Amino acid sequence: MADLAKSNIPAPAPALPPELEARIAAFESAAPPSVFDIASWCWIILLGVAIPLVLLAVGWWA
Amino acid sequence: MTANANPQADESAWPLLSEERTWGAARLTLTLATTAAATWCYLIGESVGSYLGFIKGGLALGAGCMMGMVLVLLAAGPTCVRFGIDSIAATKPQFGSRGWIVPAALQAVSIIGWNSLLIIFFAKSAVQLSVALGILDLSWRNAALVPLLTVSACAIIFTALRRGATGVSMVSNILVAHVFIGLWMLYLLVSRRWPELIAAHPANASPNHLWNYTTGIELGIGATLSWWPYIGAMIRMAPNGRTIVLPVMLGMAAPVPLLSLIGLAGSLVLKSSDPTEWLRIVGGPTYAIVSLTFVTAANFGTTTAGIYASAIGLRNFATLQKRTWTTLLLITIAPVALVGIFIPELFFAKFGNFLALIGVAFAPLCGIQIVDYYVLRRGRIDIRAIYVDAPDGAYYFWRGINPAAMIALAAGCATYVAFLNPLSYGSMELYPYMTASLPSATAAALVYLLSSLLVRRAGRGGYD
Repeated sequence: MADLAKSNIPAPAPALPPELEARIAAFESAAPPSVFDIASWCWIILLGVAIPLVLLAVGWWA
Repeated sequence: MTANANPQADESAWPLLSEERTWGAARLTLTLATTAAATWCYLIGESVGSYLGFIKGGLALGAGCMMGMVLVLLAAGPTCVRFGIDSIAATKPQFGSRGWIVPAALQAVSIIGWNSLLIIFFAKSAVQLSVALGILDLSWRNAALVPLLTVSACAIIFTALRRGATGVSMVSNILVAHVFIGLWMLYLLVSRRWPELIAAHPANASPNHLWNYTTGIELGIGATLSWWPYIGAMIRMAPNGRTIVLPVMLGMAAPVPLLSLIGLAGSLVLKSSDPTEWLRIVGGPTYAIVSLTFVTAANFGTTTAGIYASAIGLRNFATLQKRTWTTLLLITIAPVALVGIFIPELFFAKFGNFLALIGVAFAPLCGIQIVDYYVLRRGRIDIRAIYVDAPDGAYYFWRGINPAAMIALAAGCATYVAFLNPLSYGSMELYPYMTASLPSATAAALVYLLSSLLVRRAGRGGYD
C-alpha cells in the first residue's frame, strides 16, 4: 500500500454499488441511442426558433 | 451482470432503465404544465407590464419563454433523457466528478428559495382572503396563521412525495385543472376590461421602445431558464428524446406566458398582479375564492415538483445515497418549513433579490452544457465516469474539478451583469439589441470551448 502511495499509479476507483454497476453495464452493452430524431429537430427549430422570431416580428410591428 | 427494474428507482439519482421510464408524452405534459404554472407567472407578468402594453408584452414574453426553453432543452435534455439521470448528474461531464457541487448548490438554493416564496405566498393569500371574507379579523393572531399554513402545506407535499415521481405525477393529474382556471380568469379580465387594457400605458416604460421590448423578451428567457434545475428530474422518466420535445416546448414553455398575461393584464388595468385581489374587484368574493383555489393548486404543484427535483439532486452526494427516501424528503422540506415558521416576512421581502442574482447563472450553465455536448464531445458521454469519483475517472479533471467550466460560468455571469443588472435594471448600450441571457450563454460557451482545448491538450476530461 505504501509502495502504491509513493508511485504515480492512480488509486483504483472504489467499487460501485452492485445495482448501480448493473445499470451502467446495461447502458454500456447497448448501442448508444440517438436522442432527438429528425422530427424532434424540426419541432425544436419550429417552436424554439421560427415561432419566437415570428412572435417578435408581429409584436414589434403591433 | 443484468439490471432489473426497481420500483423505487425514481427515488435515486442512478440512471433509469428503459423499462422504468414509463411516462408518455401526455403524462409528461401534464406534469410539466403543473410545474411551470405558479404564482411567479403573476410576478413575471407584472414585471413585463411595467414596460410594455398587453399585446406587445404578451408577444415578447411568449417569444422569450420559447427561446429560453429551447436553451434548457438542448442543454440538459440529451444527457438526462439518454441515461435517465437528473439535471445535476448531467453536469458532471462539464464541471467534474466533484465540481458538480456548484450547479447542485445553485439548484438547491434556487428551488428551496422559490418553494419557500411560493408556499409563503399561498399562506399570505389564504389569510388575506379570510380577512376579506370576514372569516378572520385583522388581529395579531393572524400572524401565526402564515407559519401554520406553511407547515401544513409542507406536510401535504411530504405525504404526496413519499411515492416518489408517482407522487409528482399524481399531484399534477389533480392540479392541472388550475391551468384552465387561470385561462378562465384571463378571459374574464380581457372580456370585461378590453378597452382599458388596450389603452393602458405601462407605468415604468423607458423612452427607448426597443429597450422595453427587449426587457419583455429577457424576462421570458430568464423565466424559462430557471426551469433548468427542475427539468432533468421530470424528463428522465420519459423513454426517449422524441417523447420530451413537445411536452417541454408546449407543456412547460407555453403556460408561463399564457398565465403571465393574468399578471400583465391585472397590473396594467387594476394596478395589481395578484388575481386574488383583482378577481374580488371584478367579480366579488366568489371569484376571489376561485382565485385562491388557483393560487393554492398552482403553488402546490410547483413546490411538489421542486422538492422532488431537489431531493433527487441531493442523492448525488455520496453520503446521502444510502439514506432513506423519507430522510431525504425531510432534509429538502425542512428549510422551507423553517423559513415559513421563523422568517416568513423577512424572507418574502428580501430573498427575491437574491433569487434574481442566482438566476443569472442558468444562462451560462446552458451555454456550457450545449457546447460540451454538441461541439466538444459530439454526443459521447461516459455514463460510468458520471458515477466514479476517482483520479482515473474521465470526469475527474483536476481534483474532481474542471477549471474551464468554473471560469466559463464566472465569465457568463459577469457578462450578464454587464449587459443588465438584474436588481437595478441598469443596462449597457448593446443590451436592447442582444438581451442579457443570450450574450451571457454565448460568452460562457466561447470561454468554455477555448479553455477546454487546453484541458483536452492536457489529456483530461475524457475528450479523446
